[in-house]
Amino acid sequence: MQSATQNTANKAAANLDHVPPGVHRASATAFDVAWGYTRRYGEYVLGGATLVGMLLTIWAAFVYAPRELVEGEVQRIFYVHVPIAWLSYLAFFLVFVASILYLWRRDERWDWFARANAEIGALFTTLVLITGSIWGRAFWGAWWVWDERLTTSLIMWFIYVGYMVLRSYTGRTAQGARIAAVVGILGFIDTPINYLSVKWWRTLHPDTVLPLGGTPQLPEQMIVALLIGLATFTLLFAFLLLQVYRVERAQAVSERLRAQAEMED
Amino acid sequence: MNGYLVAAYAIVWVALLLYLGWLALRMRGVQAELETVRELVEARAPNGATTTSSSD
Repeated sequence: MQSATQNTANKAAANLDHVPPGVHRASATAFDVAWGYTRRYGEYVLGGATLVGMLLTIWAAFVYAPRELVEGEVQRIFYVHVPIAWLSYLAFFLVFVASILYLWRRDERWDWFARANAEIGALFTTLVLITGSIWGRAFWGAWWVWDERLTTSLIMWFIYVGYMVLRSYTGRTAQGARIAAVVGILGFIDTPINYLSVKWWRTLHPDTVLPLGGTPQLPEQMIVALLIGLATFTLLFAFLLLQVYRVERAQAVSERLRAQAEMED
Repeated sequence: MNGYLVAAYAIVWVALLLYLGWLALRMRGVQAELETVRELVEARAPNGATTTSSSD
């Protein structure tokens, strides 16, 4: 007879090996089989599509998109800067949603999901700040200006880096997860402020290029190149999210198993 | 080619690759940790107990 800890250890190991659930069972339905193989091979497809997308993005940014007349070549930074900025918004929105769901359901999977999104969102915001700064140096002649968009972006970066520091400090405890969920909800306040800052204040930062429900402010080829970049970085985001979530889950299971094994000792 | 443009793309791609590498290392570390815990659990299991790799 296996102990509960043994069973959990075996399940955790099997999950990490990506054994398709249901595939080996006689009672498996077609859906089980399809879901099993999607779990098994889906990330390879996702990873491959991301790689192809990366090459396509470079081609679209450097070859397909026309040279911008005012900003010149440096404007091409826009085809990575804007998609990663949008995806950092998405990541922080998902932290917000997952934090609410964690507080409501107390299901730790939402906590792992929030952690994974915060980590990727912080990475993307770092890249947004770096690429934006390089563009500013080339176009404005300054690495940084205390413009409303830039300042709220920096605040956003501090919020999510702070979130991760907090998570590291509190460990994997229920109390730490609850505090982090509150930070994840309150911290999201800055995200819409950051998005709308170019509307609310007279900023140096260029205005929204694809306004929601409005008319695009760009030539068609530039929009196509931007959408290719957006699709690629969305695939990358999904791929990274899958990987980070898996690491979070495995770390949580590992810590719990070790604690249980030590208690049984 | 504009140096700022090349620098921006290089930084993005290198940062993403480094992050992926770091993620792979973290995953490997946690897999090793899980394997250690599994061995620990098996070593403490009563005589005759076996472990399986079922995902059910």
